[in-house]
Amino acid sequence: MSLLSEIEECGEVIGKDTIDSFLACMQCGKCTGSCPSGRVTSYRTRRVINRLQAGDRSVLADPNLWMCTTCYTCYERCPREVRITDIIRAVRNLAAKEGYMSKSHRATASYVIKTGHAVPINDETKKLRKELGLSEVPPTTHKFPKALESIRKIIKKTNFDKLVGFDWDTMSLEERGEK
Amino acid sequence: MRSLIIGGGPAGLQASLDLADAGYDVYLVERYFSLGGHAVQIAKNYPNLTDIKDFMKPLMEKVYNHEKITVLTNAEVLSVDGEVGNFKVKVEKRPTYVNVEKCTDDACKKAMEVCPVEVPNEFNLGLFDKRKAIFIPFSYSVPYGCVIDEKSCLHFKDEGCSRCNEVCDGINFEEKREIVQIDDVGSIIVATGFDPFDPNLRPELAYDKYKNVITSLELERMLDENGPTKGKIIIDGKEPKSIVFAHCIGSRDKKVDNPYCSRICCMYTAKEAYMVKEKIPDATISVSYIDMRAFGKGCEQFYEEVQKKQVLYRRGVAAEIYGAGDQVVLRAEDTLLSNAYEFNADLIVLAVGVEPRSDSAELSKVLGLQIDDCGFFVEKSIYDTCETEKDGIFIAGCCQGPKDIQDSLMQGSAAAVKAIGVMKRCNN
Amino acid sequence: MGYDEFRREGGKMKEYAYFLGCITPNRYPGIEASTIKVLKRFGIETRDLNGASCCPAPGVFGSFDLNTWLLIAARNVTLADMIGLDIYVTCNGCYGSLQEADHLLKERPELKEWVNEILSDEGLEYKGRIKVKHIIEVLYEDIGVDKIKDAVVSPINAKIGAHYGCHFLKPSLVRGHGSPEKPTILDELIEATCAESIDYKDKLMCCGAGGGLRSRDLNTSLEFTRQKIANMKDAGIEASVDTCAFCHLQMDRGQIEIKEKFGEEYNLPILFITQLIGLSFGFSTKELGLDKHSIPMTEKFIR
Ligand SMILES: Cc1cc2nc3c(=O)[nH]c(=O)nc-3n(C[C@H](O)[C@H](O)[C@H](O)COP(=O)(O)OP(=O)(O)OC[C@H]3O[C@@H](n4cnc5c(N)ncnc54)[C@H](O)[C@@H]3O)c2cc1C
Ligand code: SF4
Ligand code: SF4
Ligand code: SF4
Ligand code: SF4
Repeated sequence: MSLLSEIEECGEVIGKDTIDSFLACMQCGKCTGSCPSGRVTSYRTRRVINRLQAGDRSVLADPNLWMCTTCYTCYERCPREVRITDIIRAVRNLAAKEGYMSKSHRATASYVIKTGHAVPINDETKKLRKELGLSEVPPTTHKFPKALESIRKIIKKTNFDKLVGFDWDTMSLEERGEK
Repeated sequence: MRSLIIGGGPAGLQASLDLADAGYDVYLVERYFSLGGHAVQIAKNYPNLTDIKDFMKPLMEKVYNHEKITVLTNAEVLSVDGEVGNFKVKVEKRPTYVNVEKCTDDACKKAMEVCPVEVPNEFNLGLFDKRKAIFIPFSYSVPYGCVIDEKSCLHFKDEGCSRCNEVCDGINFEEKREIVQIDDVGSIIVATGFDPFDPNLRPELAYDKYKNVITSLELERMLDENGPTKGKIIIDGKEPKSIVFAHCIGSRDKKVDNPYCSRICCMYTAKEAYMVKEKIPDATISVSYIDMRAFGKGCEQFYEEVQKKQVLYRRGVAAEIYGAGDQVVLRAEDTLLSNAYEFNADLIVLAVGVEPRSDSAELSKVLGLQIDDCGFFVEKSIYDTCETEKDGIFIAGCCQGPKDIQDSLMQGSAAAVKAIGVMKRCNN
Repeated sequence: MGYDEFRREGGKMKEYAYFLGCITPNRYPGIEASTIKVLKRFGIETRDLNGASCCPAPGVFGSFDLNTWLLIAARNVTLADMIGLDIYVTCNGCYGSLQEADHLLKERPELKEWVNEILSDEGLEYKGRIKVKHIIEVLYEDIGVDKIKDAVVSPINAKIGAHYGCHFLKPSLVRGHGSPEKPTILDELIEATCAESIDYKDKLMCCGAGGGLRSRDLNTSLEFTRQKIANMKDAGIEASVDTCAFCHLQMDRGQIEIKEKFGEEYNLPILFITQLIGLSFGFSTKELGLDKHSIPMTEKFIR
């Protein structure tokens, strides 16, 4: 399968047209020049698009791929209307599938599997909630265990648990070397 | 049988002259107070750096004085009926309230002196100077002499003023709007030209925020020895020492609905960079470009010459601009080095692209022509860029698509030949 | 202005489901309390969205697996759809996820079908009857700058740096609030409290938290924040006001982290828009949870 069709598959929910828009990139550099990340890291937005056009798979292993904050500045300004930020999300999906997912990202994902929240509540906040006249625990998956079960069902259905390497027996992340 | 030309820029002027020289009567309708189009706002021509005035002034005068050509300035086509060989055209000729035959240097000077109204001078893009309500359009306007701009003149507000009338006997406030009916029009050539792109549509370039971010056309006015700064480049009272030219502003840009290349801005930027370097030899000049398009005769050689003047070409479009003290900073990527960089500049010049006239849709309705997605008039075929779907109506110059003066003149001539063809056909 | 007056002027009683997300309820409940209080002033009621989860963050979960992202986001939207209430959010990330998911489901019937098939397990069905709104939209459109102005009893006399964040306005194609290059909506709301919204370098720049950068590379992420805050300080700004709980965390807590990591101290108070408005309405610093921020409020923000 070509790199393009693999990315199209990962980005199915955002649409083929969105993904394919990178074919029209003219390498003008508007994206990199507008990128707040490119000013402080070695990430170059245009280079990512360039490598995708060339079918260069090594882009998947490049840690720079993860330096984008999804701020959409490039996406808004691209004169060829390349849907850059969405494409980056889809390419990251493929990278994650190939095992390029950092430990910290797996941890963030595991919180949602465990609690339904990427940032779960803590005692300090519970106390503050009470002081503010709010319910001690918010009316979310924190309060409704059944809702959490629904989230977990979805996660199993999409194999998100396997993607992240989540062990249901220990309710924690499997040991996995970081690629 | 006669021919009607709409628009008195290079394309329309050339078409008029060629038709008239071939023996046809011509009506030339120009909206502005003077002939010339955008070409007369430009100082020198690329790639040979000749003075545009040396070419345009004689062309305009020849047309104006040609016995076969009736020039209607400050005029507009209202309606076109009939068909090839016999169009009937209604033109509105607006009054200028001044009889230019009576203009003398002294009278004009006095009239302008006494006029109390000052408004930004549109010929210089409102940037550098003011003009009076009675004024001479520009240093070599044709017709040459004063005109009164009704919109700003106080006489037409409360009739409280007639000061110019007191010092000049060429003034006539009674002059009325005229409807000129032109019948027996065998052919029409549309040569209405272009509008420069409005850079405010790319707000990240902060054009409206900083005085030292200007358009290329504004720079042309400063480069003009007869212009408002007498050829000096002055920004906020100072001569800029670091200058960036930014290519493709409003061109090759689907975000602003201009997906096409404007064709002229690579080369006019090269020309402007060269001229600035001549005027300010110690200036640091760089050009931010996407691809260099120097396809015209002698253009690649000129580009090389500009590079040798130490004008630095950096591949990568201007991304955004912000202010830092007196300076403005350009952010861009040098795409060949894969470097995101910032350039502190005293002046940033935006190479604005060519857009169709903002009212091209309305004119297309009057004429029964089609416009494309971008707003340019549609030619009949790629092999015949003068003819339109409408028999007897032709297009020439930038109203058909971006092009330089050379190509506008050629298309004007080509359209004239086509017009002669249909008129001969109709006469037989 | 009280509720009765609001009604007399033709204001309809409106009720929203508040989609909380993670950061608001679990780190900055002051945002939650302030928002509910401010809306109540105008007769706008807030209902709990029971059983909601993480939105899930568009740049984080969207980067891991777009399918999972869409399903969970769609589930959250559907919870409100089931009770027939429009949603408001106080986080650009939540807005990004829910609004985009809603947009996709409305645009693409095949996605709706797929989502509904999976949600039916839980007895849920997405019908697309409701709207996902950012709190800024509720303040600006439902209430309006003039009514907010009229309700100010304790004017804010300070120079404020507006921080729009990214996902409120972008991608504009999906959000539909016009060009994101020169927005004024937040500045107008800030100025409604009598404060002055001051321009600063890179005003529209990202806070640095999004796209998973905060968890993956904290130093880089904080460098964004440091630049923004330093730029605000350079412009003489006395506090920053934001539209997003995640930006809020990054800029408030982030200043402590910046101090630890880079040894630079800025002490720039950070307020969520409804906290600023709440202050101007006479609520106390404590009632709005502002006293529990990492960066203490300065005198101008203590009531
Ligand atoms: C900054 C800049 C620098 C340039 N430098 C160069 C250069 O060095 N060399 C070069 O070859 N080219 C240059 N050009 C391009 C040049 O200006 C154009 O090629 C040329 O002006 C096109 O001629 P035109 O007759 O098609 O249109 P225009 O010059 O636009 O003339 C059209 C005329 O039609 C009139 N008109 C418009 N609508 C109507 C209407 N409805 N009714 C009646 N009249 C109407 C207008 O008032 C105008 O007088 C430059 C352009 C710019 C912007
Ligand atoms: S801005 Fe668009 S066209 Fe330009 S380099 Fe980036 S992706 Fe390509
Ligand atoms: S969306 Fe990502 S790549 Fe684009 S400008 Fe923002 S940080 Fe850079
Ligand atoms: S009548 Fe009009 S043009 Fe003449 S001096 Fe007065 S304002 Fe100026
Ligand atoms: S001529 Fe050059 S500057 Fe103008 S649009 Fe084309 S590539 Fe860009």
